[in-house]
Amino acid sequence: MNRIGYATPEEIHRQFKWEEFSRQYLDWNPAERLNIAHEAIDRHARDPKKVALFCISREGQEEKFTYREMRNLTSQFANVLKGLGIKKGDAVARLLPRIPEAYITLFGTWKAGAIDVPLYTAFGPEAIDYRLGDSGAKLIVTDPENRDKVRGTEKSLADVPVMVVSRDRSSGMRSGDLSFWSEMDKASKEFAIVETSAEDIAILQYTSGTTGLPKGTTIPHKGIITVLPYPKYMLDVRDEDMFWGYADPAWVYGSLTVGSTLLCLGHSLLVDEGRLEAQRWYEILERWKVTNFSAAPTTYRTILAAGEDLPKRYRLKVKRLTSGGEFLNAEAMLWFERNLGVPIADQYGITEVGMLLGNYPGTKPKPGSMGKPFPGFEIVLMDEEGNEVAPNQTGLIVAKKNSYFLSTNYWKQPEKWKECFIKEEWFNTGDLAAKDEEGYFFFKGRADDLMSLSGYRVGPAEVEDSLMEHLAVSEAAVVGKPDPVRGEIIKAFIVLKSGFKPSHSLAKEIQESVKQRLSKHSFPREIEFLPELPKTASGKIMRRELRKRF
Amino acid sequence: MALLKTIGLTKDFGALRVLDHVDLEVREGSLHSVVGPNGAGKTTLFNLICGFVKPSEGRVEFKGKDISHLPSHQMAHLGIRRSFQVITLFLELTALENVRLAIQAKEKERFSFFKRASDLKESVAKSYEILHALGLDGKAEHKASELSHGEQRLLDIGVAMAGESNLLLLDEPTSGLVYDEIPVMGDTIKKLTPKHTVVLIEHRVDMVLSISDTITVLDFGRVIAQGPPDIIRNSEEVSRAYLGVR
Repeated sequence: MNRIGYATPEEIHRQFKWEEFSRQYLDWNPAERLNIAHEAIDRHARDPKKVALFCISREGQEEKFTYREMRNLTSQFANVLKGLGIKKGDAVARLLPRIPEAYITLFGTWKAGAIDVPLYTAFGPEAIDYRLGDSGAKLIVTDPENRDKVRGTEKSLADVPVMVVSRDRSSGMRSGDLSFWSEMDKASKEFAIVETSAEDIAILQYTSGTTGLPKGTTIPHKGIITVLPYPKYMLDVRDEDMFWGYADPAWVYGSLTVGSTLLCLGHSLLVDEGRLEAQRWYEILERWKVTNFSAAPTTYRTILAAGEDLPKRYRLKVKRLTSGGEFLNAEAMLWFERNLGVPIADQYGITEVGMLLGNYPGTKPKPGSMGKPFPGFEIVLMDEEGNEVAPNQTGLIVAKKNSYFLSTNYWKQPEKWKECFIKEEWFNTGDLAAKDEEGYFFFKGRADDLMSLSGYRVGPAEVEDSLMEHLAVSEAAVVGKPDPVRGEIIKAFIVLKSGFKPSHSLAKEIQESVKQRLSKHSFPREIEFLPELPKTASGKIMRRELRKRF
Repeated sequence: MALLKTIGLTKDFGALRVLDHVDLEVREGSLHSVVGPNGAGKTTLFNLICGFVKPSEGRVEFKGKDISHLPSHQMAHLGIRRSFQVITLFLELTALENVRLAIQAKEKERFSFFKRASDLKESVAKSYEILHALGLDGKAEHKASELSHGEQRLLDIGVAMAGESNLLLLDEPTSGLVYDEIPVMGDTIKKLTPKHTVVLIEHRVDMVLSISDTITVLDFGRVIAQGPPDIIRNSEEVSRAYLGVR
């Protein structure tokens, strides 16, 4: 049943038109030109008081940036880039935590017509090196904490300048590095946005595949249109709302979906630099009178794990909770309904296409369901041959091709992009779901071996490669193991080289090496040593057999 | 005379126009159906008539009076009753008690713990009358939970009919019914007229064609056809909306 004051999901889905929508909410005509930095920042700068960012430092200090200040700062950064010879279409890597400078770098990069290459701070040197080399970045912006991970071991990176963000203008710098703020001090606040079209690439976002190394997806400036209906029709952010999207701008959900979109609509972003802790979460919710909150399920599970006493201690005003990034279990949804009076509305999206499914506002979220199709997308469940499956049958989630896909291609790998389509028309997400008679989708797992760690997708190949680099490892296979807090954790099955014996300390050593090399978040939390790995006749590892060992 | 009229009724949700200048006239004592594919705008039209949402443009008239800005609880006082797509019965009460409770709730002034026995008798008699009209007299003493889904839907209409209703708004009463229950539901609804005026929202064109006096076909928020069943049956726009591309 629909609550008062909303159109039904079916009405929104059937009557939504991309062109009318973008005409209403964008300032520039995307048929002529489009730049996210103009839509998100500059157009709102006329009002000197309007706040774009409220930032909370790790220590709890608050700092705010008006749209006008953001316009000036992002123009300064665009001038810095211009001074370094960075031109339209060049890639600028951004290895920064959730600090205001991450947003200045992002929007400044777009103003210069350059491509943003976001790198997650949990990545280790190998993961960073690979992405820097593949993207051909012309500049790396990072902070003292992450500076050492930029080694530049790949030859192609030897001459790429590194810029370090620190307010004192000197911490953490190596010889030859540039200081972000010293360069900014010298730059003019006036900058004419480099003309970009709707199709020009704005973000090169790396995602993990099942086979081979991570792929960069190319997201054009038009990508802002793809996700702009999200705050309107799914998050239900109203003028009077205080919205908090707990998402890292190193991922498209943070930079665009609950970032740039909110700014486009003239809202303020709440940016918390701190690590996620339940108590801090409740404190921020109360202190900032947050009414509308969105995060990945791992955030919700962390808060849930802290118990039922905490929510009683705070006076909360939250009216809508949404979750995206991975499957949200029904129990988590119901816990929040019981303890905060608000159920979590689960949503589903992928970097390649956009937000595809969601529990609409005005409807009661169905426990365990990802909701109904997102406006502007035709979402169907199919078998691998392209036949639609019957109600309540499991099929692949596929999206019909249209000109508003979030990504336009895989960077340097267009053949891989083509392989994603069934009958050249339906994008195969690789995720499985079933649809009930009322049209609600239920997640049924993944068709492939991708793992979902606290909302981040990781393919086994990269982790296995890293394991194999340890001198004791002869063979390695990893699979995702269900975990109550993280969604999934990586479990590695390892065959040791002769001369090495399984031991707890060896397992620890192997874990540590992956953590150092690859990433703090995609190392195997569990290791099991086996005499051999189960394989098919043709020698392929049978992950299905490994999963049976949980 | 038109009991209910919508004039240029329009509703925007942000950039989305879900209803676009809908003109509708419901004659007193008639069965008027509003049909259209899923998402055509039927529910929003219904919510506007009931006062659950307010129009962006245009108005709703009841007996010649503009009611567009009345709160929804005052609609009930005018005799406008609605049933929902989702069943809203008390499952542990009998069919009779469900209807009687609705009658008493709508006649609050006479409802007190020490009410006269004759009042009680009156409401019981009226409940039986309603159950009879719905073909449910044999099930009066059955708990709502013991009724079939189709019977529960009929009883839901009975609850909406309780009190002095001038206009019954029925929102997809066939939803969730099995195939052979649908004609029974259709016949029962037909029998409610001309004593009641009924506005029926449906996405099943076949059923609506056989029972309605007038049909309004909506798609993309607009009226694409309007008139008696014969005209609708032969309308090209209608077949296109239903058979057209998904």
